[in-house]
Amino acid sequence: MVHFQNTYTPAAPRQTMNGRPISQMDWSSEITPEPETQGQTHPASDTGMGGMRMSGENGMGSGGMTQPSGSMEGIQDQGRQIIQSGDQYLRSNLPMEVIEAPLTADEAYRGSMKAKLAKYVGSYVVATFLVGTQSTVSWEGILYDVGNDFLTIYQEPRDRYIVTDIYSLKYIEFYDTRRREMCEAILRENGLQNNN
Amino acid sequence: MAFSDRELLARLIQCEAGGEGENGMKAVAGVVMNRVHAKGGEYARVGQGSIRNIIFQPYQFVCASETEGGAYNPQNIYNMRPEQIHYDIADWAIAGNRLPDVAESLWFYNPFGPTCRSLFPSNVGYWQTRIGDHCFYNPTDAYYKT
Repeated sequence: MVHFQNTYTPAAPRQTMNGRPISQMDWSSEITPEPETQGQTHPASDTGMGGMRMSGENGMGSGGMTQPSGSMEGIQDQGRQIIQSGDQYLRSNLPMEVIEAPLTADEAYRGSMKAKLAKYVGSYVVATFLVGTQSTVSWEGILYDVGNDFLTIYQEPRDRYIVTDIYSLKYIEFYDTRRREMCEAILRENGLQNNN
Repeated sequence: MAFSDRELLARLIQCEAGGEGENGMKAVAGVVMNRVHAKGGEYARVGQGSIRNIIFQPYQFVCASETEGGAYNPQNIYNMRPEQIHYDIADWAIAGNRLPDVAESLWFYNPFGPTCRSLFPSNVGYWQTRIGDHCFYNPTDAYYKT
């Protein structure tokens, strides 16, 4: 089987910070652009990703990062700069009338999740699926392919492809690998991430 | 007391596709929920995202009416006695699950014959698949102009 080539470089070995793995840091401000408001302050202890990978398991904790607010502000400023430079990531940029009242099947498709998924093949994702009516399961890996009723996730460490039902997909987290590298670099500069 | 949306859907599933087996019922449930979540066209406008509006939209589901062609229609949702399987399928569809083959379908009908017509009336739908005695149709561009 052809091995999918991607630009994602595995992060440095996971480190803990205040007892929480680095992977649980809150990346939401780097992925989703936030509107700039003067004087806006971010709480020093943002809720972490929590990492609920399997339903039924207790969440890995929603406690925030306990960092000095000064260093967090510096990181948040740099995060905003990253956001400004690439804030079109994951935006559909479709006219509102196409979203609200599509006039063709193609317009309906372009405003759908399938189209968005197909556009971002190659991204590192965490996809959460509904199994039955109440339980969920998450698969993470590289979004390898998107079809009419399936999506394929490639897991590099295990060298396997997981073909999943697209209609069971509930939500999907995208990780822009370029920003992830930038964020890791910023954290390293601020002494919050150690590389061995 | 009015039926809940879940109750309505379960009764409709039993009435419309009770004899079609589990997949047949799931497909019909999917059609109803696809109309509820329609991105555009008539069902988006009329349904407004409501299961009740979709089920009771006039001239859509025979089972939702007590009269048909001026005569009493005994096969209606009020005469149904849904069982656990019908509620389970209703819950399954409401949760967002779909049979892949009919995941986009908005219409179904029983041709009472071996073949399905290629287009749904007014050309709003093209034939997608057949499950049991029901032919299922996906929306065409014409549908989005309704």
